[in-house]
Amino acid sequence: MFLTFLRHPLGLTLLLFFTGLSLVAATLIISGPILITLAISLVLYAAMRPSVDSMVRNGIQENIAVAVTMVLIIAMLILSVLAVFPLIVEQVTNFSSKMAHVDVQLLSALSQLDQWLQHYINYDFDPASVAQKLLNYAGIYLNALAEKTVLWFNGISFSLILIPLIVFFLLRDFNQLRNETLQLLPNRYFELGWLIYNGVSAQLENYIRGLSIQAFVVGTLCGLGFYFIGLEFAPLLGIIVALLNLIPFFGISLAKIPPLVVVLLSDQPDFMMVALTLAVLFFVQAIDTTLLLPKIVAKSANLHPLTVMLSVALAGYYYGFFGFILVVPVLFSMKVIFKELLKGLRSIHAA
Amino acid sequence: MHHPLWSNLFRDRHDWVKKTSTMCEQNPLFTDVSSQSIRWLASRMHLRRYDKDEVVFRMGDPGAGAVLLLSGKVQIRVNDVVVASLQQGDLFGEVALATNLPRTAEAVTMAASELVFFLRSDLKEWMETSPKQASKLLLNLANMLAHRLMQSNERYARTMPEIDT
Repeated sequence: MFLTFLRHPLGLTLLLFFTGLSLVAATLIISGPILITLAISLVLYAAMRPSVDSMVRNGIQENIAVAVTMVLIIAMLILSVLAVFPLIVEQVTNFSSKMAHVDVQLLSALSQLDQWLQHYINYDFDPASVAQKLLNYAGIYLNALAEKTVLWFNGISFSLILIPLIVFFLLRDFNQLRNETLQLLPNRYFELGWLIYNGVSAQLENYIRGLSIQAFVVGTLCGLGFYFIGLEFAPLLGIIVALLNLIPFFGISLAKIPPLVVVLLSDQPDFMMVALTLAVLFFVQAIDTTLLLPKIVAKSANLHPLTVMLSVALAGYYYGFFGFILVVPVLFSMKVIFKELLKGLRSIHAA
Repeated sequence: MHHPLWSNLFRDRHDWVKKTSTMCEQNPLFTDVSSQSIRWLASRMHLRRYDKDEVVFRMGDPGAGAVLLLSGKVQIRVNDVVVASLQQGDLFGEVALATNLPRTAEAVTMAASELVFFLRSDLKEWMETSPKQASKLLLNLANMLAHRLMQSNERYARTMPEIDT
């Protein structure tokens, strides 16, 4: 019975797919402590590979091209940290001083909202008690966030040493590692293995390229929009919105929170600024939804919305922010591997 | 008898790369392509070892690239009819370099053989690295396929004379 099942291409595909999946899951569990480091290294590798290829195309030896790219990227990182660090310190100090009298500002904003509601829809509430409740919630959330942030930075200091090393070896040896791995396949499945690998890598490359374009366009448009309406921390907010927007489904709502928090914490929070901030966000997200997503991202991903929604929720629960971002590419790769495997085995069985 | 896994993994790379380069230089597909480029390309190809009577590919299999017969013997069959017997240095399955259409014939080893796979993905990588050299190979491939089309048209015309009337 079981052997009959395995003789059918679908049975064999399911067996191979789930065996592979179990191996990947075991690897993920074992490499849990450095999983995020590995994920960041792979993303950096994907980003740096084209520049190495371009140098090789222009006659530079591969080893030298890898070394030059690494030196350039590390120099750029150091320079940008040196340039951005004072700015971030200044913005964080500024932000902390604002947080010191956040209760007064929140009360002022809520009082304005209360007056507006009374005037237009004849509804009123107690701004003082609502402000107190909100501050209590925020206090609990911020404490938890602070603890997580400290842990995250402890981890990232270790990763900062490991990531450049992993990226360097990936840039230098990835192709050899890939070739040697595919050499392990039995002769009968050697070509099929390569066809699956090429299909998955080409589609994944398109998807990551699309995602990068989306993040760049959304970040730039939001940064510029916030700057023109006079919102504080415009470039930083642009980057945060771009990153949050990468989270499927939930990102579009989450991305609205940081700019609105900044408006409410500004010296004179007013509803005109809230409206303008929302207008910028809605405008950019409209461009994202109508132009960028369908043409660049969704076309290459092509996953059912319910699958994405449930997977995003689970990945976020287990792996946090990186889980949110990486779940779609992972799902999408699994789908492509399964489809290519089934297609290949069907044609081999039909032959 | 060698185990395919270990013999494919632990092999002397330089030896077969040199042999592959020499054979490629003599093959019409590589006419006008520089020796340096051929060596670079050969170092990216994939050596596989086959036992006697092992199927390399079947008719209808998805094809990932061309295959060079480094040593041994291979028969090409269509519906169990032998259409070609290949010797050391022969290249087969070149159509898969141009397209991902299914294989049009079956290839079976007639003796323990060493085959070198030149995959479509290797060709694409080479096209990006050395477009001028790669274009020469593509031109040779186009010539080769055009000749085959002409030969098959002629055969078709000979076997089906009634079609002209």
